[in-house]
Amino acid sequence: MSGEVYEVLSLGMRYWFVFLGVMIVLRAFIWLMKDRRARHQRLRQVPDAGLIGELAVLRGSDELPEGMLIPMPYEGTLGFVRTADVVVPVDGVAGQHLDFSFQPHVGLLVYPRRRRRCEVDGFAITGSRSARRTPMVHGSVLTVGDAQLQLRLFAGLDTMPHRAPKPRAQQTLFGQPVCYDAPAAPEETHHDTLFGEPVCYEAEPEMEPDTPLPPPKRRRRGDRHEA
Amino acid sequence: MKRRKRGGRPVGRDPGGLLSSVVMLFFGSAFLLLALRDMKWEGFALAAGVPAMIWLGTHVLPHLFPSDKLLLSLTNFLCALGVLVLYATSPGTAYRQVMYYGVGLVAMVLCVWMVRLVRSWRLPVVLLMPLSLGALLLPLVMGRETNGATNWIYLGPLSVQPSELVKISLLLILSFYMSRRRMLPWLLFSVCCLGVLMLQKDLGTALLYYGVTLLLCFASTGNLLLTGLGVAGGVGAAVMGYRMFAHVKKRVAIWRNPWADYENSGYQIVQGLMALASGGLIGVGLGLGTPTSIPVYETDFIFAVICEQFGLIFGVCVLLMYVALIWRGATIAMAARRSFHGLLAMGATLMLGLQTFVIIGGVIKLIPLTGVTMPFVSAGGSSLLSSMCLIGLLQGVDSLNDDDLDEDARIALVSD
Repeated sequence: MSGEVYEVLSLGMRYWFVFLGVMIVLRAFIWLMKDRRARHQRLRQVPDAGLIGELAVLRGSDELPEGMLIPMPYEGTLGFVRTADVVVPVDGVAGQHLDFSFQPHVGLLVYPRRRRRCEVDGFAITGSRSARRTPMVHGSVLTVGDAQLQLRLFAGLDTMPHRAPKPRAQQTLFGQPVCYDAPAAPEETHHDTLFGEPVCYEAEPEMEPDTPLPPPKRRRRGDRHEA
Repeated sequence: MKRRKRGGRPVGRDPGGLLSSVVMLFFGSAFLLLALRDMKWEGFALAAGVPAMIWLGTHVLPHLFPSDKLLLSLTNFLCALGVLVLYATSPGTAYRQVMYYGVGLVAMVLCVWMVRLVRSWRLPVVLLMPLSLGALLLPLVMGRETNGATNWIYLGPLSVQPSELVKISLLLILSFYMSRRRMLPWLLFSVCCLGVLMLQKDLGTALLYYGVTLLLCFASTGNLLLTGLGVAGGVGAAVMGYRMFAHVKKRVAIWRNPWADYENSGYQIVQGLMALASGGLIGVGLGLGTPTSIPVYETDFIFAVICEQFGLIFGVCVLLMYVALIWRGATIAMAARRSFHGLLAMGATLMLGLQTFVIIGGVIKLIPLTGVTMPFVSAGGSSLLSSMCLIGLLQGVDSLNDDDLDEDARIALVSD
């Protein structure tokens, strides 16, 4: 093709290329918007996406009343600052008190920051890297500062089975186990008297055994989050 | 009820099909025009082959590995644009670029599977740190100075820029230690990398490394004080660099007034600006103009060549494609469940965004020119390889996000 013919053709095709370039950009952004809308639609159908359960407040403060439920993500920080993933505005809780991370087939692991501590089911966990980690499972209680929070995981999440706390290690003396005598029966306590006659109190009714903790209900679209 | 594909995106009119059709039409007509100019069989082969590869990349590849079709489409468009512009000016370079694209595609797939399959990153990251530093030191030991910087090593016919490949390890190392809130390892590694890059006089890459580290630090900690200190440190280092190094002073002087010495030190920027201006709104025409008069037009000033050939409107369109890429990357990062994956995706996005800003800013004289390349478009195997790896990391995180959403939907059914 001669140079002049090519030049005319190329000059004419400029408008075509600019038109196609604009079309490509428009199509790309339309695709971006469609995908964004589709994702939002999907997230509306699964409102608990990204969450593993809730933390129920067993003991809190004025700002965090008892019975309140805090949504729990897979990973994040817990503290009293607003930027924390789980905000616990209670005395004794630092700005960013601990980090947590959910591990499938294990449970929720908590990592207190340096010089911070917390308790999981009565076991103390400190901020040192060598500290023993006790994973939290459904029903585990986390004590941080003056707050006590119970973890409720959604059903369908795999964790290790909940283990009862181990008994204290048997103490030995010269290779023989040390047995402690059973405490002596308490002496007869002082009876209340009224006009010289002993006062008898009725026995307390027997408590029913604890029923297993139900997993939190996953919210459907339109449900209000209940405290 | 609308059909749903993997990832839950509803299928109606396939936006991927519409976009790829327009892209195929664009490149088919562009390569055909160039083929008619030269009347060589290679041109006709590219006119058929490039649209076919785009079709394969958009419709077939996503079935072979977990991928984001939009990211693939944008990447393919930018890579093909690079091949097109290089073919118009230097056909030999264009053929090599096609080969590098093939290698980059393999690297991208490997990165996707790496992100999906590797469960514990502790050992790989510990191994990567000394290996990356060693790779960065190689040009100082066995490299040669090219265009004022000693950042290349030559292995026979191949030349490799280790700093481009170390970008990937930098992101992995930063993401790993930042997600675990361990500051010392990543800080030490970043400082060592920056030190080596300053010794190599590779200021552009040093700026990228520094910028990504700072922004990722802010993303992971939210600590304004720490970030402010980092910015202050960077400004201080820039001022010290200006006072200590003559080449830095020269670069700033050229940026301030390239016309003062337009025949020597300012020649490149002046030619670039003249190319931008001569293109006007719709360009001088594909295959016309004098793009080869710009020094290093294949790498640093390829954006000026694009604007000269296709015009400023098309140049803005290319910029918007990068914006779409960065937007998508940021969306992927924010949807990640684990902080490691979120930081990795955010780091990859920031790296691409910063690099694009630095090179286009240098070409249009917004900021002093540095020696970085335009992602996907510039000639160069190392640059294309690292950019494709970044896309692979993004795709890997996106596929994990989709898996997590599917898992949430499954758990919701179990709970109900």
